Amino acid sequence: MAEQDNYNERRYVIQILFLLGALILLAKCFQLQIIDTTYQAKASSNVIQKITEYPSRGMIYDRNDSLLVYNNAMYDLWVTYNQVEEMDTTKFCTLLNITKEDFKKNLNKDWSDIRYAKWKPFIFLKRIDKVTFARFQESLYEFPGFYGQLRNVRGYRYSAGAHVLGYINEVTPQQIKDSIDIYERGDYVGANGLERAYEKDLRGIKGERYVLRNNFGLVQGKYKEGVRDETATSGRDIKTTIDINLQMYAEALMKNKRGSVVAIEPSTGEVLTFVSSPNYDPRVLTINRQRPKAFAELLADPLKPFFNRALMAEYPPGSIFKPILALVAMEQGELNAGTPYACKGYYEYNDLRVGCHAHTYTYNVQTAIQHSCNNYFCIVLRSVIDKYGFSNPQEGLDTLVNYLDAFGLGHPLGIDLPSELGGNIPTSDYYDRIYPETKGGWRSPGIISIGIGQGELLLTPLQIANLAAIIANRGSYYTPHLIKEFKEEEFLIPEEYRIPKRVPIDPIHFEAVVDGMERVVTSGTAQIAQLGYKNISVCGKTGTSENPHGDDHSVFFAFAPKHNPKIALAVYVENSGFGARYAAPISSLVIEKYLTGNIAEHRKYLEQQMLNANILIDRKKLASFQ
Amino acid sequence: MTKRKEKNALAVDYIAFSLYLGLVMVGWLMIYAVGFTPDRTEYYGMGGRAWSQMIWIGISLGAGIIITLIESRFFRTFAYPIYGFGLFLLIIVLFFGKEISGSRSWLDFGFFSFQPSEIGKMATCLCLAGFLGTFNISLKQARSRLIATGIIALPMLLVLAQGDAGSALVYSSLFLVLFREGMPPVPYILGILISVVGIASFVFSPIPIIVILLLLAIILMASNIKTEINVNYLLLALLPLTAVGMYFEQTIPLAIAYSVLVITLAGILFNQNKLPLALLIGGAAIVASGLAFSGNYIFNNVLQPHQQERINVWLQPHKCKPLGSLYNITQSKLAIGSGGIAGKGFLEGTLTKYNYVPEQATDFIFCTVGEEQGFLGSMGVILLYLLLLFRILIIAERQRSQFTRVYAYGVASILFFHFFVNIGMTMGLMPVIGIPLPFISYGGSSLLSFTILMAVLLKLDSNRLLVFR
Repeated sequence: MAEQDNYNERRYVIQILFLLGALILLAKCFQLQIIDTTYQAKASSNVIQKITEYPSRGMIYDRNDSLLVYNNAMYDLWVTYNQVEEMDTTKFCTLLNITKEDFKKNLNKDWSDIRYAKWKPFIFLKRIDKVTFARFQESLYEFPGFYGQLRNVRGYRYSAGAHVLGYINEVTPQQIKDSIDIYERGDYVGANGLERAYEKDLRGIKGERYVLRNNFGLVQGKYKEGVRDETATSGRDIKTTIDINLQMYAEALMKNKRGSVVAIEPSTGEVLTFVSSPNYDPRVLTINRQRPKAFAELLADPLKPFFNRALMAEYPPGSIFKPILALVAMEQGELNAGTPYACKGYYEYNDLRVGCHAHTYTYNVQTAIQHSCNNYFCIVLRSVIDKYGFSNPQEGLDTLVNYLDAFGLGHPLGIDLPSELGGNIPTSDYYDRIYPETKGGWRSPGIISIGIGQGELLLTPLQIANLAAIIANRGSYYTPHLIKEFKEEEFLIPEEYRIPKRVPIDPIHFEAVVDGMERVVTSGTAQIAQLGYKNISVCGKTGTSENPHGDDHSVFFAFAPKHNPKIALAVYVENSGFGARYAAPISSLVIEKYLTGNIAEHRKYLEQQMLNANILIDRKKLASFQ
Repeated sequence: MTKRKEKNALAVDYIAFSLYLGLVMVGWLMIYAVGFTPDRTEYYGMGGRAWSQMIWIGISLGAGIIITLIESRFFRTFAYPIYGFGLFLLIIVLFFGKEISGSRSWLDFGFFSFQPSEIGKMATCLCLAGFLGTFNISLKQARSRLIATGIIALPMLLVLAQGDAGSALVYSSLFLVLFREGMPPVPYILGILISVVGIASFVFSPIPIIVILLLLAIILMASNIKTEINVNYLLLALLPLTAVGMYFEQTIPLAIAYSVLVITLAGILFNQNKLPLALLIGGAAIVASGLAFSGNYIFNNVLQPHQQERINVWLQPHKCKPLGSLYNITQSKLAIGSGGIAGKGFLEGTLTKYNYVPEQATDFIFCTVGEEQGFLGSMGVILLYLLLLFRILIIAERQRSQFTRVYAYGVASILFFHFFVNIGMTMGLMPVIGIPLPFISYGGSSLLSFTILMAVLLKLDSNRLLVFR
């Protein structure tokens, strides 16, 4: 039974409405997809792209505001595979100075690799210099899909200071993973030196811009009027403690020698000069197309220019350990400044014999240091080790180790450079393991070589320079550092570089040692280090660290002037014989240059001699060893 | 009765079911295409949205089967309680809903969240069917018209209160059902007039609109006057006059002159005993003129700039910044337009991936059809919808029971509204109001509720020999 339905015809109205609706949609589709071809052309072109704005990396200045490291423009060429069209590849390759094989290789990535996708821009060619890119950019419109990205790379005003400044590198996958949204593929990150130590200050904050590009890779405009854009924040400029003139001078003196020079301003712990030789020109590692090759060559160099000797080379300190031993013994009451020990040309204990050289009577600590008497310090060492009894050397040694620890030995000092080593101070545990009690144990004569700075004792040049600073300050010191300040004054350098430390030695004991070190220069083993200025007396101590592999290493540590010292330094010259031969003259030249600004006429010969000396083993010869 | 019910049970309408299934399959393929990127099959392949949609298709089919197991009478008997429950959910969501981009329209149960407004559509259809299917209820009675309007308006206002204007507008499509069931046409004509004038007032200043309205009134009144003069001459004179006056921006003198003319014609009509007609036409003209003023005032002084911008994107795209507010719709049109005749091919689209197009798997899924399948594919999808809609209309008209017919018209109206507005908005024809394309858009809640809407219809249709009372 049909229900009453008086409005049956109205269904046609609804049917017509539905039909009309569908027809309107169809007509619009027809217009968009068939009639209006501009949509098909436009669609392939207008693509939003995120452009990273790289902040300019913080500059590095020397202590006198000379600009050391700045930023240079360089370009990366990016490409979106899907947007590349038929083009004149010959012209393209010529403009960019690449081969067709390079072109194919750079464009056809492994698409199964997660890092690449045909729709996503990737770097086609890195590190294009300004000039090449400017030439290329004129023709950019002929090469759809390609666009350039400005990058800042480092430029260097001076060829010196490579080990301090370090360099930047492309960020590693691990670094990207470890950082939280800071790095992306292709970013540069400080890889060594100050660049690495102050990476987070120098790098700044990246900005981003969203733009629309057409199919020629040309920017058409901002995406959404730039509402999502963020500008980049430049990195902080830093001022290093290095005096670039002194640095260059010290590097010149160390040319063709292996070793290091570390000079510190004692009153602040600021490192004035930091040389590791052989070194390299930092400009070689500026980011450009030649860089990978240059980097590989430096890595392969048998002279190992990347090796930072000042931080990482651990040598026996030799005789320069003697002043430290004297200080510890005096503090412990085992030695008085006036204690005399006669030397018969050697130290003897039963069958043990440690040789000394001919010198006059060592009637106190001053003269013992002046003559660097081995006999004297062997006796002092034994008195320190045997303080708690001959059969209990452990306690004596560990007490000594504790003092040495306070002097910054046996552990990294904490300078603001990566990869610092701490040297080695043998402890009682160490000797107990080598000479177990069951086999008779060990006694003070067995470790007598420590008294003259040999044996298991190992120090880095930085630690030795810091010892010079400690003695110069009569017991206090700042952790050596290379950051002087941030250019923006509201940022402070790390706290550990602002708080002085003290060694547990009464300042009174330092006078004898300082006097002794002055005598070393005026009338001892390092008279060549005398400057000849009445008001500047250099206090120093030579050392020769025995080298089982070849000629001994020459070492000298010093500070000047005696009162109110301005500079403390350590110079290490490998395979150069005893301390007075190279290390002391180089030290004195660096001190003279720093304190007076030039080299006195009567010492020019010495300067020439040092500048010209070549004690490097020939590169080829060295290579043949390996 | 039980015996008779057995006899009256037929199979579900396989044509409608096939069309439904076809749309669901097209939808799944498009969702797969959006998620698919040529270089990263391992990421998107079966994972992500395509997989999730597959599960929802299964759930929806399961729900459909369950519904066909329920007795048809259930829906008739429980039409009002279901409606009540729907309203209850719509109220609940106002208090406990999860706020997503300004609207509080989702109920979140952790593992599953849905929009009560989707359930509300079916509930309202059932309620409307229940009410109009009642013996002795006819839309000839003013009271019934009021109640029927209320049944639609109540959930619509609740959805509007959630801040989901798009879904609220969907309910207005149900007035189409009332039209089919005998609602007089005058309110519809007035409604259309008001909408057109309102929308026009956003774009044009009020006086020119009033001139046009008065012209319409003159034409309507003149054609109803019994006279020896051929009124067509009058109209032939007025049209060029209006055009010239508009061109030289002399709209105020025109408006005054036409007002006088309208009053004169009204007087003539009054003399010929046609006062109600004169009042209706004159009243409509006055109300519409007021709307032209207020609409314009609201647009310029009440709406926030971003709301103005949204309306401009639809009505006056040339006034919008191409890379600003217009950007999304431009990208959408670009994607569809780039498909050309045959499309770029399945999975070959580039613009409907990586979010170049907004909401590319949900509200803007049609862009993928347009880009990858071209005009032929777009036409295919539109025709599938049209066939389904007509099939539902055929189903509606073959019912013995008014209940099922009303429900069927409700389903058709809702589907048509979604279909037309959604596809229209991807091409800039309609404002972007954020409603999904039924059966095709990604989203479990939407697919499930549209499936239930269809399944109830097919179940009722399979028992069409029954007459519900």
